[in-house]
Amino acid sequence: MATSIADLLRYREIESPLIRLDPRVKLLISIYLFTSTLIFDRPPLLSAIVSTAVLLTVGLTLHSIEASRRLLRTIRALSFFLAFVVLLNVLGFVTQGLNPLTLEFVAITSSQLLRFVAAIVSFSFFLLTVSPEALAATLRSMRLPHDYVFAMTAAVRFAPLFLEEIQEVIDSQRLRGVDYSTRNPVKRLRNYVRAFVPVVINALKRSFEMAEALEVKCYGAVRNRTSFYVLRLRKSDVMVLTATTAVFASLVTLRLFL
Amino acid sequence: MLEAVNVRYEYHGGKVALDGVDLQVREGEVVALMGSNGAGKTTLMKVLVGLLRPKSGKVVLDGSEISELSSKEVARRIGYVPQIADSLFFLESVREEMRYALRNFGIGDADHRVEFLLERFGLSELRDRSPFSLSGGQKKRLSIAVVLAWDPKYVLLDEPTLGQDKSGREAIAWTIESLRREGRGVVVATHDVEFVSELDPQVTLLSSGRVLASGQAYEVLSDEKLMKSANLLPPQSVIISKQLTRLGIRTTHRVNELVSSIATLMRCKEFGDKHR
Repeated sequence: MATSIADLLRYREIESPLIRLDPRVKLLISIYLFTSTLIFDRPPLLSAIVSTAVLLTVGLTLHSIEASRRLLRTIRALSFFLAFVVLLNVLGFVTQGLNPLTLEFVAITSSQLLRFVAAIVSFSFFLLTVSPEALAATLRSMRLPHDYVFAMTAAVRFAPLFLEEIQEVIDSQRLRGVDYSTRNPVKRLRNYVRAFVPVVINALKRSFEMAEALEVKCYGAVRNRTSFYVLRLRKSDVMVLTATTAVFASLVTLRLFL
Repeated sequence: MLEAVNVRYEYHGGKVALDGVDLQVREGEVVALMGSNGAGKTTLMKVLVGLLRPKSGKVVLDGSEISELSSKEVARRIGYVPQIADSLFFLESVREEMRYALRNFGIGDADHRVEFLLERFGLSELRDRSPFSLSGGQKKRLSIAVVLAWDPKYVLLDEPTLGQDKSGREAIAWTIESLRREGRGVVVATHDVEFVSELDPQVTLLSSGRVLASGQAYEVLSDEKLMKSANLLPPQSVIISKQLTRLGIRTTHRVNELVSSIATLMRCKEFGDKHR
């Protein structure tokens, strides 16, 4: 499960005109996609249409890297959270004295599930297509202090590794007879908590190693840093930015007058 | 017998890690999986132990397909020591680590075995220390001892000599030899040719996920062409025996035969005068 979720965050080098866009444009597209799933919360049919559109947009954009399959795998890994959304809806209906076995319940729940997946996927679109270096340049262009930018890009860089390591630890413990498929929830939770001990210790160790590596490379020796990778908007970036902003503005207007 | 039959495994993104690999490990046999980095050794180990499911082909453990067995059943019979030991530990002391799997498998009264293994791997004085405070080599030895504690029928060791000093290597070599004598099947994934040359096991040479050659270490390691195509250097004994052959002395790369050839040469005054 952890490796599938890691797939949602890991950048892969891809060759495609859309992927070559300026990272700031991609960040804005991500924000537009994410916001669209939030502002269209009612009626359920409209919410489902917008969420499906978001999923299709991301799916088609990433088609060149066979990411559709990867996205499906990730959605499967999120099934626990999706089941939780369904459970909350059932509880909501039951406590209000309503019957969950109705078409209305199905419509509301499926639109919420779609929104949940679309919201996650819209942000993963940014992380999948923007390298940590480009992310750092984007944050720097927002005039954020370099230390914060560095900490954030390091976190993004290490998140998939961290999740992979969790899977490795779970595998190692399974090989020592730990039963992760037990139906006893307390036992299962205890097993997962145990898996976190080596992961946290390794993360701490890695952070010390990273600090040493930074010292060796004279991190912070110069107050005013220059940057090798400077972002510049091209004509295609401006065109895509204008088009997506126009579409988003029309969606917002539509929402205001609906 | 532990057997991989025509195993193919692909990583996400379609990279083929194993392509039609066959491997047989009989009881009382040591098999060394050799190959350069990325040849597919670790992937094959993980497939053998059921951590990775092959895209096609199967793994058969004593007549049953591994996919039909529970992970606990497989783990009880196949002990796998991963390359990086850090992911294995999470308890307060070395001794607790040794006992943990025994509790999971419901094995009682194994204190004697635990103490014996700690002694064997030079860890008895560290029994109350946190496993996280051990050095890399000690952690590796502990990871092997932890797996041997529940006495599995097959033992898979991934790069066992990584970070080991002389005594560590000797302890590991001795353990593999003991396991062989006890009738257990052992698979060692390594590119340490000197270590394999000392063990003299069956060797399966992997390159880009395919089996290049299989045979006795003596035959495989002395085939220069084969070793070159697997991107491995032959062991020192092979290099020396080749040099001697060039000088007209017929010998093999087995260390004891080499030594006797060299000893004979040193006694031969005529040869010494000629090549001084």
